[in-house]
Amino acid sequence: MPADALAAYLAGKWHEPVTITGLKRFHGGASRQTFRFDATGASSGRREALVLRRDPVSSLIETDRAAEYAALKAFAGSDVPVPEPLWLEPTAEGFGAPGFLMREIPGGMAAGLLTPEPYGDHVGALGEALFTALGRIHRTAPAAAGLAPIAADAAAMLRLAHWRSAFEADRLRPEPVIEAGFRWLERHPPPPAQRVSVVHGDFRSGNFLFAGDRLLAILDWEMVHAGDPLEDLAWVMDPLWSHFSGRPAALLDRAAAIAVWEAASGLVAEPKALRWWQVFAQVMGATIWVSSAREIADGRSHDPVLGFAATLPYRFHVMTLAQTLESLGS
Amino acid sequence: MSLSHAQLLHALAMAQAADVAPALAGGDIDLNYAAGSAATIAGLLMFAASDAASLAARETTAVAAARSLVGAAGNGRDTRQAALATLLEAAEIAGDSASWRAVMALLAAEAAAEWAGLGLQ
Repeated sequence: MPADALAAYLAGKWHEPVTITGLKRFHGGASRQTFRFDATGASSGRREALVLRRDPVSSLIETDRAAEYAALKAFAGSDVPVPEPLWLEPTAEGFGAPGFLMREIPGGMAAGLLTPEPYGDHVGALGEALFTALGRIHRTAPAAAGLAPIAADAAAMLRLAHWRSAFEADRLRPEPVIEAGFRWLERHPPPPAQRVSVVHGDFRSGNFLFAGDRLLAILDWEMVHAGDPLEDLAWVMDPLWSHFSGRPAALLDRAAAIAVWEAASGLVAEPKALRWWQVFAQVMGATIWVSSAREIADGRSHDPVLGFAATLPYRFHVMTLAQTLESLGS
Repeated sequence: MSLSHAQLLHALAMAQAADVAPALAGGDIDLNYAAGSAATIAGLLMFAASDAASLAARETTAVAAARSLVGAAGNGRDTRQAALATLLEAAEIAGDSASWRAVMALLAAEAAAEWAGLGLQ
């Protein structure tokens, strides 16, 4: 990403020459390329720390940058902390690929998948904040984020059809466990969603910034959609994101996490429905990891993040899904 | 792995040549990204090495465990998984929960062995 292109873009927005410094690309994002930089106006002296999120050549998942941007707009300045979005560019003009700019959140960090107990002594306060933020997202109607509404009794099967289609397109080898997972979900449909709300789509440890016991920002909204709030709750509680702690997101214990979410959302995590979404989370995860393998197998990407996804999370989810199905029965 | 070792190693070699090496030489804006990629590559090489070391023993166990259900079709990971998939679906159609559980138990055991093969625990 040349600094000159960013300088030219911002000069057009700020109506003055702009200097770009401190430009660097972050490692890790598999569905967006993420850069941070400082922009300084030549005549005004205005200086801002900004982040660019743009589409990569090949992505772990096909996602909608406009939906991500709209979700950030919807929550900016609310009691759900997010980075403030600034400008969306739907074409390659401006950033070399479709993308958007947002303000940088200073001083925060995100947990790595394999980091044990990343939140240290702050699990209580941070857990309260995280599951409260999730509940608040689920109080939000899809229209507020520019998302088309769906019927409450269609939420689960729409998501299942979405991921089934991805799985069928991307599968590389025999996958009896994942196939059985899809069939189990089809045979045991959950009750209709209590509420159709904004669903973040990838709400988990690693996708938020924190500093000590403070939740600074919920990130990575590229999979946002209208749906059943239990989808997010099940995903954040999936053991893959527990940092091997046995606690959802390595924060609160399961009962406490659910209680905080219920209080904030005004919803109830009905056990049978939540169980369906927990199986769904494993099937969805396994499908995403299969899709990442497909990107590499077909030569569309050599990103080690995709190789990692096709290795460790893939095996983890196939294992836990098989164990879950074995315990549930056919 | 859902990728073969050859596919994974090819991608890692490409990443090292195309992303990591140029950034290390140039010290440019991608240096931070390249450092992360290098660490991920190193981790994946360790997983692949651990996986390769345990593969033969794992395969012997899986073949033996599946023999009574799928016979010679159990020789080879993908043919075995395909044969077990057929059995699983047939059990569902027949409503044979005992057979279904037996097949899923085999698959769960093999999946657990594949996870352990990465050497994380």
